[in-house]
Order: sequence, then structure tokens, then C-alpha cells
Amino acid sequence: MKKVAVIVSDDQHGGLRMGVGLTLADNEVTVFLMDKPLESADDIDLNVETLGDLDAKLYSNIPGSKGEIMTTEAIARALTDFDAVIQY
Amino acid sequence: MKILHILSDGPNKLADEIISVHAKEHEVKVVDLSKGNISYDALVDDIFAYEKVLSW
Amino acid sequence: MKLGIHVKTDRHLEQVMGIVNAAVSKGHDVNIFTMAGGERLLENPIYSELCKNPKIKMSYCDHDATHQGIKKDVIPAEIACGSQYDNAVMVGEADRVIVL
Repeated sequence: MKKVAVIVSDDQHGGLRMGVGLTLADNEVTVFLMDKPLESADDIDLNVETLGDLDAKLYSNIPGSKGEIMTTEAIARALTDFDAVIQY
Repeated sequence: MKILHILSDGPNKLADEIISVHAKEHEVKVVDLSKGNISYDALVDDIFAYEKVLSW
Repeated sequence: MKLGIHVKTDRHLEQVMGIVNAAVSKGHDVNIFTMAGGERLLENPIYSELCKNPKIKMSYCDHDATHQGIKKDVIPAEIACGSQYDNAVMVGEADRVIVL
């Protein structure tokens, strides 16, 4: 199984959709929400919920955001543990 | 660990923050594709030679 | 080795071509998945003709292509009209993944 990190910063819609899609093959997916709160949109809500249902891990560097809070520095260190990193 | 960062559109704040943390503890190389004059042969060699590759 | 390339914008055609051609010339296999803004490249034969090289496998997200009104009839049949599953497989199989 490949460990894949998805960094969601610029395009929350595309990044979260792709994060869900990555679970369709043998990938262990972790999503990092960076620098801005989640937009209010049905597809974003659905994909965040789906990621949780699929046991994908969700972290954010924004206090009060969805997922577990990590500092940017801690996220940077965590990224070195992944086989692939995809930024959206 | 050897980490390669590829900047597609030049530097940005988030990439800079992540790279600066990695640079403290790892061997880091940054390739800025927006600058032009890229040796793609060398870049492909680096992509496979470095243990981790992050694209921004 | 296998290089996976996730193409998410149409702004880096020169860089995509440079990396793909260099990788193939060195004997690597390349798997390209195209989605989001990258889909506009599928209408450009310089990009889409990469699929004619047997060392290069290509697919794209049909959902995005439909949403963006991409002219699918000009996309070569060798490029798989696929889904996020193709990206998941590409990422899972590649030795390295880059995003452009």
C-alpha cells in the first residue's frame, strides 16, 4: 500500500475530490488542509465526510478547521513519511 | 534524506515554508521550472535519485 | 522506473513535454493522468500525441472533461477516458509522482 499525502491549498474542490478518488486503489490517503478555512459548498462537505468514512486522515494548520490541527512545521516534517505528495 | 522540490510557477508562501523546514534537517534541492533554461535530462535523473519529490 | 505525472493545469505544456521526453529517452515508463484545468491540453495535438509513444500511458477524468466542455472527439482513442480511479492506480504504481 502506498502512503499518499494530498495538500489542499489552492483548489479545495479538486483536491478533496482527488483525495477521495485516491482511495479507489491501494493507497493510504492523508489530506492536509492548508492556510484557509474550508469553503462552504456541497461537494466539499460531501468529500470531507466521505474521506472520514473511508478512514482517510484529515489534518489542518488552521485552528477551528475540520480535522486534527497541526502546525505547518509539523506538517512539513510529516510529509517526509509519504511515498507521494500531491498538492492542489 | 534527499528531498527534491519542484516549483512549477515559481516560489510561493506555502512551498517556501515547507522547504525551509525540510532544509533544516535534510538535503534539499529546489528546481524552479518557471525560470526556463531547464535541463530536463538532469531533472529526470534527480526525480528518481531523490528519495522524496514534492511538486508545487 | 515508472514516472507518474498528474497534469492539473494547462500552463506547463513546455515543462510536461520536456520531462516526458527526457524520461522516455532514458528508458522510463510514463503514466500521465489529466484532470481539472489540465484537460484543456487534451485538445492540443502536441500534448495528446504523446499517447502514440508505447512508453507513455495516458488517461483523463471524463467528469472534468464533460464539465469543461472539452472536445472529446479530437482526443486520440489511445488516451483512456477514465475517472479518478485511473489517477489512483497511476499514483499507486509509479515510482515517483510529480504534479504540473
